[in-house]
Amino acid sequence: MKKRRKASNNKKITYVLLALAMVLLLGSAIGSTRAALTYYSENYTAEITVSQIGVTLLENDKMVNRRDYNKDEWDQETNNEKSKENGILLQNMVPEGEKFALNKEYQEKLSVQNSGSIDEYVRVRIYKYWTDKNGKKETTLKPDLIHLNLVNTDKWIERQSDSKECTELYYKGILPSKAKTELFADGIRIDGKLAEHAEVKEDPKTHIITTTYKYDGVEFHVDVEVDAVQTHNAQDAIMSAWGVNAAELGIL
Amino acid sequence: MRRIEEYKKVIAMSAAALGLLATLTIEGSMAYFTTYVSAGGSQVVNLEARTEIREEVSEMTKHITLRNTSTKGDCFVRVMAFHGQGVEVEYIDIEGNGDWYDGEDGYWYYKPILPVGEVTSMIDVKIDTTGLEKPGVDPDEEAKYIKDKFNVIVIQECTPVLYDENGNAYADWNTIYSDFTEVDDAQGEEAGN
Repeated sequence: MKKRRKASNNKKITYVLLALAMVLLLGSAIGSTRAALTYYSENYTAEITVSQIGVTLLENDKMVNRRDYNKDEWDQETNNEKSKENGILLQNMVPEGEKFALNKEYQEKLSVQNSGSIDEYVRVRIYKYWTDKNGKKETTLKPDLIHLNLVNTDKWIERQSDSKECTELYYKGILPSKAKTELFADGIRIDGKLAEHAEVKEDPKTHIITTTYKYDGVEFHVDVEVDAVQTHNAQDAIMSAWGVNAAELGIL
Repeated sequence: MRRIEEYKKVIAMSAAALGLLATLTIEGSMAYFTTYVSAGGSQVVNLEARTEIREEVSEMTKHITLRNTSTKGDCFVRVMAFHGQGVEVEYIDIEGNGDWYDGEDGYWYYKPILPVGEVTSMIDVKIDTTGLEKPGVDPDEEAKYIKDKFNVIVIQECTPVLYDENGNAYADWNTIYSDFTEVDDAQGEEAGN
């Protein structure tokens, strides 16, 4: 009888502690919610938007892709009618009436704008690669044959990533709200070495000489990703978001 | 010791609750304001060169024009006449505007870019067989001899238009084309698409 009572008491304590733990958990959740409500309420009262981060990629000073946090949701627009997420580059690379030519430098002015309402740190990742006629990666062609002319190297700190296709550029210092960075690239050129692999044949009857190029029909690609992160608690924020030591890179 | 065993469940449940709380706290401190955008672009590289030579012969002169029969690429062209001993040739730029010029390396070069489908102006190759004449020999025999020995072949070459860093077009006639079968030593990414 005494044993049964003792067991019953233990169960009671267990349930009481369980209830207490649940109350604690609930309390923490309510706390967060209340904090969020207070936060937005303050914004509303003061009519300032303190938490709206945003970034825009510009090509030849025109918007390619913009993604801003606005009124509690993401506001995104691109120059691509078919996609709200991915913008299109190199659309007007070759001037009208001209044909694409090797070794010729075409204008490709790339920069970043802070389209949000808070200051931020910015980085850019550039991917260069080739695909063949069937759209598969052409692994015998070096990404280096795609010369994207990087400029303002004192403001954009280059860090070679593990991939030969990828170049990382970190903007030195804070990019204030609504401000634009200096250009990180101003031109693009495809190396003439591409034409070195060819076979020249003459038809003995027609005397037509045909040069057939190994890399006829290949396609070069340039993809750009822009990341922005808050300036508050920057060292930790950058480490968390980008996995790099901002102080060591010298961008703070 | 017995007491500890009695409260084992309680301790375990409390630890679990604390763990949950800790998780919530860590998640909160790891949230930073970030955003991103992406864009991509590409361009197909069309490489092709195909030229056709047209020769008309009259009065010991070859009248030469070249046509760019490629559908994709503009090019530069040049010609050279090969001939045997005793034969001399003279090149004449028919338009006389300097489009055809002597490269002093045996070739005559056409200066303008030859766009797709277009034809060069005419260059004449005048053939002089004086060196093959045999004075004192029967004229018919001499004519037969000259006909046998007289052999002038005009060859043509083309190369795609390249541009220097200032955007000026040029031809690279020194390019040594490697054969298709050669393996490129370029190192690209291993990943497939």
